[in-house]
Amino acid sequence: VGALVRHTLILCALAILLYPIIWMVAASFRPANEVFTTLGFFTPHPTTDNYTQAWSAGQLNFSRYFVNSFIVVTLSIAGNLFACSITAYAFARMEFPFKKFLFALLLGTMLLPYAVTLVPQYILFSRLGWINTFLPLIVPRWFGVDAFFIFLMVQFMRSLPRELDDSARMDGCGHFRIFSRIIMPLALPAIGTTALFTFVNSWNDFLGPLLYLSDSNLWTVPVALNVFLDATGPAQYGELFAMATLSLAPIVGFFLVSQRLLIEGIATTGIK
Amino acid sequence: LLTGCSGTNSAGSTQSPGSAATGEVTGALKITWWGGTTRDVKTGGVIDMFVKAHPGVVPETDSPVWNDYFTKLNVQAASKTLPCVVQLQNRQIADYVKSKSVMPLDDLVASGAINVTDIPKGVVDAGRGADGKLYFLPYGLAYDAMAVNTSLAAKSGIIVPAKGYTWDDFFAWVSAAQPKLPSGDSAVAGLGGQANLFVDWVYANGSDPFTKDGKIAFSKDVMTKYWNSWEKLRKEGATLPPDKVAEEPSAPEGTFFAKGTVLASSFGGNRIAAVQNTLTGIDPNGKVTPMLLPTGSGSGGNPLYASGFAISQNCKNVPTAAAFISFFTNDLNAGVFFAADNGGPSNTKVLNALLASTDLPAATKSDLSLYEEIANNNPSHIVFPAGYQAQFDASFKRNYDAVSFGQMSVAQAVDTFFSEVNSSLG
Repeated sequence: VGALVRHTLILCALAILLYPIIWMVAASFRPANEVFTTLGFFTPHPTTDNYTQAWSAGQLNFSRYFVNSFIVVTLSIAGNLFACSITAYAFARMEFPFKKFLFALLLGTMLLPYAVTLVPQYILFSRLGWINTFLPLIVPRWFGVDAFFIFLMVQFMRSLPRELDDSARMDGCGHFRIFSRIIMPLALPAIGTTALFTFVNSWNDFLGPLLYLSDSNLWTVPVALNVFLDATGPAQYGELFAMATLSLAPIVGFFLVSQRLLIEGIATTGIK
Repeated sequence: LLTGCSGTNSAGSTQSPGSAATGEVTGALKITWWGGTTRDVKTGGVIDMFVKAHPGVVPETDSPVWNDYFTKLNVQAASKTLPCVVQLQNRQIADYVKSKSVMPLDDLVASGAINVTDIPKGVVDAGRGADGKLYFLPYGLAYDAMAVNTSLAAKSGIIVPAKGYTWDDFFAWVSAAQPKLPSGDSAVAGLGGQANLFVDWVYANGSDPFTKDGKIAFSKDVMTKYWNSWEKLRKEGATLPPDKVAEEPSAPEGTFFAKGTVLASSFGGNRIAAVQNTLTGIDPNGKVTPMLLPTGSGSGGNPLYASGFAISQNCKNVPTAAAFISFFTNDLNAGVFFAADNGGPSNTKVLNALLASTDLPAATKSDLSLYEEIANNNPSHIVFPAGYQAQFDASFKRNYDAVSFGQMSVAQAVDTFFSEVNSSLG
């Protein structure tokens, strides 16, 4: 009986948590003028018009936006995994002058609000001629700008026994081999966590694509979603909910695939 | 200095910024505006018409929605990389004049590069800054309308105010209407925190809300009187309760008024059609009737809120920018195609063509008719100071919320508002 009560309570809590999302999905199947008329889920006039109209309405082309988002996300993940892991290895396993100071400096960049660097960054990318390209969204990731993920990997690598490095070194391995054959395979949970969070951050990033991508053919999904809600014109909530529902799918899918690694990563690094 | 980094805008023209450029209309032209999907299609269509008339022009466009538009514009203005043609309103123009981001257009008008022949003088003037110079050419004019759910009024035996009603008449009407409404309905939306309506009220009572140097021109007593009028209605239960106001979406079509449970509310005239659409979805016989705002003790009527295109200081292709602005505002075919998507057209020939058109929806026509009434009756506008949107608007709402939730008295809120806003305006 205890288990039954407990499960019932958990299911009730789950229902409350999921209600807004289910309502949004339900609203995406209602005609435009019925979107806000009920707190319930069902309509006597269900329709898929919101999906078909929003997918390629006027100048919109959501197939392209999903492809754009996937390009940015994939290259961002690759960049972050590459740059953060080698930087983390250097901080965790190598000795060099000013190591502690440089690590503190790296962590210090996490305290810098994004708004502070916004205009200088924009000027920089503008002078490089990168406005209206994906480069400002991708290239920085290949230079280890996400201090949080470097920190996460450093902490993880520090927890790996140094004896493994020593024995590898006795077998003739240099830093590159130790990094690629010993550390990286063992750091899989941290890599999974980094990949997942980079995916979510990059997929949901709005301000970056808004600032750097003007041509509507280059838009990512979040920028395109905002087009449905202009304060000075008719708001298209039905279409917005339809495309928002679709945009959730990759995040949910990626989470389901990598949740085991994520939970392991969180448990091992002690970040809660 | 101002032309330091203008991105990839590489037109052939060599005019220095601010000069009365009369050169060839050709080359790259960056254009930015705010708007959703409908406006993107319409603006894109007008740009195509312009390119057809000037085949050498290569447009590059950008169109974030209203809020995001200004986020992006501010970054571009700070880095001196604004697109050549920038859409602005008279509510924000002072911010961009202050930062020297946009150039005066007077020389371009004088040289004939920008044509204002068919635009009423009072409407052109809405694009002027506090220094009297023209900084953008208005193409679309909006105004705040009072919307009444006339089907709810008829059902409840309430007579809608007659034309020419005053603000005092309006407050008395709301107060008298509440007891006649079905239980749970409200006579008026929570409008006490809407800064634009207050500014309209000050203006209707005969004074400019802002001084020439961009400070608050009205007294604390005036503001106290206004908020007291709304508080009286709120305490009588005639306004939408503050907790419901807080949960309303910002889009007019999502408001309680659009859902049919509020008798009167105020929206931009061009939003009535969307509100009507939601109401029809709930009650097929529901009818929204737009009216001009109540009049005040002064001569000021409904002030116009103008949207139009400006030219950035870092623009290197001024002749093409000027030609585009003039085309967008004056070309008859372009105006008819755009179909008043961002307020009533400033060009009278375009307005007349739209009013005569049989293709326009009834709600848009009634919006344009109200606009025509304002435009024909000595149209006027408010010169907004720099910081209006960021400071005045936000502080007004925040402080009235504090009053309506019982956290502050009206006197305290007025004091806080004045100290917050006067230090940062202008």
